[in-house]
Amino acid sequence: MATATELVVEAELANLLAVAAAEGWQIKALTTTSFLIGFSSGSDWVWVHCQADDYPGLPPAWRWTNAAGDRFDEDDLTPRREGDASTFFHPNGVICAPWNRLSYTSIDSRGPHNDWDIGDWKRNSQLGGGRTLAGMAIRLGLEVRLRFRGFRQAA
Amino acid sequence: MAKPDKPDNEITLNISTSNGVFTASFAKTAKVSDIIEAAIVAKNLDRSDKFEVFKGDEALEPVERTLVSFHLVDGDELLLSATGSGV
Repeated sequence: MATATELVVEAELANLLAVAAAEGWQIKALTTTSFLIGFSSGSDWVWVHCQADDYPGLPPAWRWTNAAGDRFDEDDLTPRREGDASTFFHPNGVICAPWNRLSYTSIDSRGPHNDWDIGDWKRNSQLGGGRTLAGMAIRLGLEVRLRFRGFRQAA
Repeated sequence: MAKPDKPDNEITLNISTSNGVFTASFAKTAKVSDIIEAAIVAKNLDRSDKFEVFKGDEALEPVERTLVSFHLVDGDELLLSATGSGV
């Protein structure tokens, strides 16, 4: 029997797939609660791994990865912060937003925020529409489209 | 049966939102803010958010401009995004 998390992810993933098709993003399902999403920027693809276990009680964990989803947060996978680069491209290497589990210091030591309550993440005033998987992906996709300037290190 | 012709003064737009894709016809003289309002209602989006509409890399701003002034055409794909959240 599917868990509540699996049912929510399945329902939200259907919306995300429709948005991804319209936007030209790639989605690779991994498990019932995890997937990869790829955003194109010129000749580069920026890949993000989403692990949504315990969602929506907790926000998903979003981390930089490769197209195979077998390496994480390495410099050749992580967008560099440059000029007007997005605050998502945080120097700590985490995607910094209330809807990313890894932004919370209590979860990941790189997480910049010990001032956010992860149990109340959907009411964070800085959520910015990241209430659904598609909403989170839209924010990421836009940041990559508008502000990606290359990776920290060439592949 | 042939579908009735759409009025010349209307365009159909596909709008990606956080709750899925929304397709609707708008008067060419409608404003971008009308798209946002329609999407909020149709896709049950949170009114407390502030939204932007993008066509590719272009933000359709200011939102009080008409659709025709942005040269939108039938079938265009737009992206509706809440602002903020990278911190």
